[in-house]
Amino acid sequence: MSPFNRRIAFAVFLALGAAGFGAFSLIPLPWGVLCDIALAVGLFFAGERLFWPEKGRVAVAPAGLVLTPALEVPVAFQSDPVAFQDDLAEEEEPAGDVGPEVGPLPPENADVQTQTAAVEALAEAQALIRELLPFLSELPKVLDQPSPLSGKLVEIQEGVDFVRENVVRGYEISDNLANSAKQAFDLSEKVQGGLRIVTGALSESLGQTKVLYEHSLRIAKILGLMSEVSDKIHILSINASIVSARAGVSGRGFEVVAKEIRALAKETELSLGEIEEVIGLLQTTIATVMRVVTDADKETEEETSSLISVAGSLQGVILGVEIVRAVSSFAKEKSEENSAFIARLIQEPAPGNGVQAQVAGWAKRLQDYLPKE
Amino acid sequence: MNRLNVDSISQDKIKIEVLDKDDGLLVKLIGDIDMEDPSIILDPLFEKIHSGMVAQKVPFVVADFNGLTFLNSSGIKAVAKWIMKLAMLPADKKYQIRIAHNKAITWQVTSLPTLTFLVPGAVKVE
Repeated sequence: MSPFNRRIAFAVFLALGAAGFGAFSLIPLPWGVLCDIALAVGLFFAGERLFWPEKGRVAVAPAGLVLTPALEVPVAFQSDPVAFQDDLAEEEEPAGDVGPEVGPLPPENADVQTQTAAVEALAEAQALIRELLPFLSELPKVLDQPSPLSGKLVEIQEGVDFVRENVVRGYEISDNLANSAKQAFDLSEKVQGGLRIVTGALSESLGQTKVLYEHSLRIAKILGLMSEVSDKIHILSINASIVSARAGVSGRGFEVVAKEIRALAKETELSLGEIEEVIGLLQTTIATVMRVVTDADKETEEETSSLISVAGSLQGVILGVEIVRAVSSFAKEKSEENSAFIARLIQEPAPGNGVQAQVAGWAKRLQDYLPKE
Repeated sequence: MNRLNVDSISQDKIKIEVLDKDDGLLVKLIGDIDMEDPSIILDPLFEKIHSGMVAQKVPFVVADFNGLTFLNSSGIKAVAKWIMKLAMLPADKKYQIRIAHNKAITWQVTSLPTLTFLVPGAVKVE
């Protein structure tokens, strides 16, 4: 509807209202006057709503009375509301970067309440910005501060390093133990070797002693034979003496020989007795030696067996220590991995780094939303 | 062949048989492990056994040392390494290692029980 047609329609509307006004005038005072006033006000409100809905301001009264909630009805609006609306729409265009874009209000739907709400929202936003700005200004400083977690990480790394060092010490101790056990094992092997030689020598001695004993037995047997021979010679010499005595003078020479033989047999008998005694002592000694060597051999065998057990135990200790070393080595590797990981965590930039500039930028942009003082 | 399809080994002075035993596995070590670097044969074998035990959820393995007359330090290190892999497993994936040993062989009596300390409860010496 053009402004001219609108005015005509408004005039017709008012004429109809005037008719109503007259009708109400017939009602006795004071109710007729009050009804007239009410009708007039209602007509103007309704008329304005009908014909100038885009402006929405309560404006005109029949006697030039101006009524408006804001009490600010521009003169331009009173003379030409449509032109005033167009001018206002142009003024509401955002000028430059003055804040978040909320989109232009459709000129046909903009009303005072919307504008008021927008102004209130803007004021609230500005208040919020004023509250937020100090925090945003402080935030970069807070982000620059070292994280309490980094201090804990340093403590954890120190703990891990401590564990690693102890593991290394444990590894070195086990290494030392393994070397000692190895030396003891080698020594026991050496002793085992010596014992084997001794055992061999004892066995050889025992064998030789047995041979000696057997020889002594043979000698004793020979001595027995010799003793028998000596006895027979002695008997023979006696017989010879008897025969020479029977022969008389002619047998005297034979008697002398028989006596010599008998004396020889006696001496032989004495010598054989002495030899037999020595051989007996020899056999006793050999038997003693045999018993001692046999006992020594048995003892050596037992000791060798014990030494083999000792060597086995030492080998077991070596293996046990090797297990400890393997575990220590594994723990050492894990500790080193953990320590390196924590060191990387400590060296990594704090999560806030790099955000400070962004936060400062936000603060600057928000500051721009506030009116310049 | 056993349930894990792990081949037995016969090399140098050592023979290692891998057999099924009830619901579990039997690893028999026979002979001497005195070579300079037994890990060459032991590490891959134990790795196959370990991964197979975990994958197939076999409840136990008997490591039978009865026939093993000598084991050097590198050999026990390989065994310890295997057991430490078991230690690293979560509780629901752990299996049991039962170590059968010969009480007449001193080094076995002295050393093998030490292995039980690596994974208490999961490694037993019989």
